Parts: sequence; C-alpha cells; structure tokens
Amino acid sequence: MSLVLDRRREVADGPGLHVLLVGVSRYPHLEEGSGPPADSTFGMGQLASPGIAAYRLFQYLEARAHPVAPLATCRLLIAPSEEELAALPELAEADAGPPTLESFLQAAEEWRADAARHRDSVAVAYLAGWGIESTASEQLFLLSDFGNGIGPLFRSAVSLHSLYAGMAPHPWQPDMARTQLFAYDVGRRGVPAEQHHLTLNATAVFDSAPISLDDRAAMTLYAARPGQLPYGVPGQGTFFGDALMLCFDGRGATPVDTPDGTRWDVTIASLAAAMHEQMRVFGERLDLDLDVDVGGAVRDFPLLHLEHAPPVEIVIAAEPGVPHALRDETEEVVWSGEPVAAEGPVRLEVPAGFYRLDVGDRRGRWRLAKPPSATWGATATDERHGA
Amino acid sequence: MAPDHGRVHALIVGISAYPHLTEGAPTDGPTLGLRSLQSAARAAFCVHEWIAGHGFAGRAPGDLQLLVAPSELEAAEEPAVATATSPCTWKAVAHAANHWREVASEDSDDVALFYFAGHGLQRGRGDHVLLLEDFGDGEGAHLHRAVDSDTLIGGMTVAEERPNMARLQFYVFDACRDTHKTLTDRYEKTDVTPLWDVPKVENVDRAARRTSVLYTAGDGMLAYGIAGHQSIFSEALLACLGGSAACAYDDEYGERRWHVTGTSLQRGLNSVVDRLNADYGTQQRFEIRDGSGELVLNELSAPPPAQLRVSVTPEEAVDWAAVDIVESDTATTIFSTASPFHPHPFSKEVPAGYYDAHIAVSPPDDRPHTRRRAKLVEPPATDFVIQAATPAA
Repeated sequence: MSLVLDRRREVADGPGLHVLLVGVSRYPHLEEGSGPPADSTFGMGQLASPGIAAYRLFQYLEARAHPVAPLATCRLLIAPSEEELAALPELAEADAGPPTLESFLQAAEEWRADAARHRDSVAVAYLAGWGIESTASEQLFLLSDFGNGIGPLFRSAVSLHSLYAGMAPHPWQPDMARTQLFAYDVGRRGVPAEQHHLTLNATAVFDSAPISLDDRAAMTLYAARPGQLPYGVPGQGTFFGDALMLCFDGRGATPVDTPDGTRWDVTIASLAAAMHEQMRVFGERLDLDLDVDVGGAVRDFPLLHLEHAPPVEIVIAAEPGVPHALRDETEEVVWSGEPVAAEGPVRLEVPAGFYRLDVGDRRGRWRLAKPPSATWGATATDERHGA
Repeated sequence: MAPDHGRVHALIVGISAYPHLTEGAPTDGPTLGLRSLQSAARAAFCVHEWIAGHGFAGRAPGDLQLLVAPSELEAAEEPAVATATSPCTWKAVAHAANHWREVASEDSDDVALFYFAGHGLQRGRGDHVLLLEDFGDGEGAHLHRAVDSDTLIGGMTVAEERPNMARLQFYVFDACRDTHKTLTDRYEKTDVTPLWDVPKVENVDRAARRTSVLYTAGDGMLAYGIAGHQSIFSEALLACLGGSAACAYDDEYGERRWHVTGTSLQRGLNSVVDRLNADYGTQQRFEIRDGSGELVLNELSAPPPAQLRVSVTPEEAVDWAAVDIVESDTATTIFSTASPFHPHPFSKEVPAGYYDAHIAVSPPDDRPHTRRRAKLVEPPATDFVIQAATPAA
C-alpha cells in the first residue's frame, strides 16, 4: 500500500497533482543494518532523515499547498529510522508502503498512469535516500532492499534517467502531464573506479519509450552537485526537503501581474532560482557548501498559486535619530520611526511587494521585497530622486 | 569587461556546408538524407565575436578557436564568416579539441567553453551526437565522423593527469536531437569514434567541476535557424548574455546594478526563445544541465533595455483612464496620457529598473478614482497590469 491520498474521484476527468514520495533511511543490508550485509556497501550505512523528510513533504502538500492543479494522488513509500520514529511517532502509522524495489516499481507505474490522464496535470516525484552517480548522465537511487543478495548488487537501485525519460509524452501516453518536477534528495558520489562495473546492473523504472516530441516543462533538482552528498538533521529532515517546502510556501514565489491584480506564483523557473538561494542560506548557517543542481526543460510553468503575498523580513540598517518611513506601492506608510543606535537594525515582517524607504527628507527608491529577506540601509535613498 | 581573474578558452564550431550531403539523398543511405545547413556557421561566428568582445563569466578572452564551414548564403550575407572558413572535419575538430583541453587545463580559475552548431542526432534518450564536416564520407561506420557530447564533456573532467583543469565549464550544443530510423531500426550498435578517453574520476575531482550544458533541443527535437543569418538559439543566447536575461542586484554601496547569472539566463532564454519562436514560426526549445546557478556570467555596465507593456483592467476603464509612467530613479516620465488611455495596451522599450504608475480614472458617474503602483521592469519584457476601479456601477 502506498496510495496515502486519493482524490481522483473529486478531480474526475480534470487535471490533478500526482505525487510520488519516497524516503529511505533504513537500509537493512548496508553498514549497521539489521539484515545480512551486502557484498559491497561502498561505505554507505543507515540514514536518519530521508523518511521523515518525505513524510513531512506529504503533510505539507496535503494540508498547506495550493497547487495549480488540485492534489489528486499521493503515493508514499518510507523506511524511517528509529530516530525518526521517536521524533515523529505517527510515521509508524502512516499508511505508507515499503520502499523496496518491487513496491517502488509498482508505485511508479501507477503514478505514471495517473499523470498520463491529463496534459494539464502536474507530476511531482521526491526521492530521498542513498544515491550513486553511475556516469555523468546517469544517477542511481538505492531502495531499501539494496544489497539483499537477490540478483546483481545494483538490482535494487533504479535509474533516475529512466524515471525522467519514462515520464515523457509519446504516442503511448499522449496526455502525459506537461509540468513535472523531479526532486532528488540523494547523494551523487561515484563508486570506486575498480568496482564501477557493478553499477551497470541497475534496474530501469520504465521501458524505454520511443522518442518523440518532448514538450514538457520538466525540471530535475538535485540536492547535491556531482561527487557530493546532501545533508540532513537526524530525526528532523533534510535541508533539501526543508528548502523545497519553504520555497513551495512562498520563498520560491514570483509576482505575476494578472487582470485581477498581482498574484504570487511558484513556477518551475522561480523554484530553481529560490532553491539555489535557500540552500546557500542553509549552507552559510552550517558552514557547508550546499547548492542544488538544476536540469531538464526549465520553463516558466506555474506549480503553485499562493493565496497571499508571502512574508518578507526587511532589515533596515537605519540612521539613528533620523525619521524613517517605509511605504508600500500605494505610498501608504507601513512603518515609521526614529531608530535608536543602541537598538541595532530594525526588523519588519511585511507582505512581499514593492516598498520605498524614505529617510529624513530623502525619498527612497522603489525596491521589490522578495522572500525570504531584504536588507536595506540609508543607501537605499538617493537625493537625486527629490522629495 | 572587467575580468576578475582567469581567462575563457573556447572551442567554437559551426558547420553549415557538409560536402557529402546532397539534396534528395535517401534517408537510408550513409548520409541519412540530411542536407547542408544555412545558419550554423554564422551562429558560431556570432558566438565567437561575442566572447572575443566580452569575455565570459568575469574572464577575459583567452585562447579562442573558431572552426567554421559556412554555406554560400552565409558567406554572401557575412563575408567575415567566409574569411574565417577552416576545416571542420573529425581530424580538425579532434586536433582543436586536444589543444583546447591542454589550454583549459593550465589554470583552474579559467573557464572552458564549447559551442557547436551543425547537424546533430540522437541514438537513444539522453544521447547527443554531433556530426562533423566529413560526415557521410563513406568511410567507416555511419557515425565515424561524429562526436559524442558525453565523451566530449567526460574528457574535460578534473583528473589526475589534469589537476588544474578549468573548474567552470560551459557547453552549448546547438544541434538537432532527432532520431533516424535507419540507425535505430537497422543496427545493433552505431558507435561514434571517441574523441578521447574518458578518465575515471575520484569524488573530490567530480565535485570540483561545475558544468553547465545547454542542449538547444530536447529529446527527439529539432534546432532551428534562419537561412543566411544565425540559429534561433544562438540569437537568443547572445541576446540573453547581452542583457535580456539580466537581473538586478544591489552592490556593496547600495547601488542597483545588473548582471546575468546562470539562473537568470534560464529565465531569460525561456522568454527570448518564446519570442523568437513567435517571430519566426519555429518550435525551438532547450534543455539544461546547469551547474552555474548564481554564478555571474556577464556583468552589465548599465541597465539593459526591456520591453515594458502597460495595460489597464478592467477593459471598460480604459476610456476613462489617464496614466503616467515614471522611471522611479530619475523621476523621468516615459509615458503620459490623458483619458482615454490610448494606445492600449502601451508598449515601449525602456531601461530596466523600477517604474511608478499613476492612474486616474474619471468615469461619467462622477466617482473619480486614483491608484499608484510600482513595478520592477526586467528584461526582456515585463507586463505591467494596472487595476482600476470599474467606472460605472
């Protein structure tokens, strides 16, 4: 069982969002696992954040997200660690399937079939766990039964290229969802050169379909660059998963002018830009080199419509003793004050949008305050502008 | 151009004239029914000119190699392309590639850039084969005179024998990726002659390189060009690098500046390619594998031009709307009209930046209404939709 959310009846023949979430923390056959060890583990052991990361993404999508197409199906396969279960006991009660090869292939096939019912649908896959870069153009994702001794070592590793390619529109599936996001929260290290031949026996997710016009907006987002590993906090989640939710929730939003006013959308392209920024922010906090790798056909198709402008923190490095006024685009004053030096910068949370900071009698420049934050100082004003 | 450090070393190849391709040749023959092209060489020439003039990613022009085989039409349209004509055979390209790799592996701060325009094809998903000038010469296998893009990129890796390889690498494959039934249906294997051996790579070296790849066609798709001019994608790419993909940022002094980053390039390419498709009636698309992210590819010295399109909603307000558009930084009015708002929508090329709109609606029911809005106008084009109150109940 992996179908944890099924609203296909409500969606009927219309477009929907179809989600495949997989989080593998427990690998019985890797180091310190509960089962017989694999012939080669390449130094890989147990993880403590992918399971909870996938589950939290499910919770977020079910409860808070506003996708452009209504959430129709969600398939969840998780193998959480003890640490994750202790942190979030409901993980044990989630009606999720096990992330074994067989379960994954079945869930992926059903996910593809659902996504292929309407070209305006959106398909999202999030895979978290161990990964290996087999070649420069081939990435493998290791399922929980990796190294179980049945067949070749890499039988329970799937080709992510096959997943991406199998979701392409072609004559067998002409109505395939044209907006697709593949988020891979997996490592991208290679195996030692002398054992590279082992990776050649990974499993394809789908048969290779005939090549035809591929007009998808389909983005792959990797949580790590080639040769690197992603990071997480044991029992809490992964930085990439957290960044994804933050970006879905507004940090990846971009303003779109519509006849009904400004709407904030998260698009494929805006998400790519925001993920770079969000991972950089996480990396700075942790002194880690965090970034995402973006690939595919990154077109500006919307993924989510936000209900409101997302919040932005504006940090004002103010001039003490001088009156300041922050105005929104209608020139309404949304904050004013005469900062005191001892109190440091002024921090305000405002809805994303256009603001102007006037300092004394100097008129400020318009600036677009986009999430997550903006730091503005007295240099944001310029006397050339006049009063 | 104010390079910070390093140089960009480029290998730029554009092949329009394929001497072994003839009009009307059968698709199941050695030339797969392909014909010579009319824009690839000029596209490469334009890319070379741009890099020579601007550098790339903060690097000054270094060793730039241009190999072009122009068509007669291109040579007539742009005589400088004819002057630059040089062999683009497999041997010539392999020789140039070896030189390029040697130069690019001298300093890790340098940038390696490869651009190819010409015929391309695909044997399977994710694959891309670039056909060189002597393709179809009747010697060896079908793809004897071709280069496989994965091998090209793989051979440029940071490796034991090349520890100082340029860490930042850009590849643009401006060529079709369609399949040919003769190859896919008839043969078990259709090998490409390897350009070089691909070294085994340690993780630390794998992580050291940031590689951006632009495929100007997705799986099974075509690349387009305008005969005698350049390819659609090269036109879009150079427009984007020149400013159409620029985004604003504040420098350390709080001054607003504009630059093109890896991410903004993706966004700009989408818009510019869409516009060119509309202009030329083509279906150009592109795919990326981007390792450049927020790296700056071109720093601009002034705000780039952007197309501003102003409209008022609802439509019935247009007759009663007076609109002023003011460039925010300089307080310069760029558009002012009393009601009715005409022409509507209004479109004008302006310097990118922040603009104020002030709209005054004076409907006959004597319920005047005014509204202000601000907008960041970014290249290549920005829609500024101003909502007005409905004039009559």
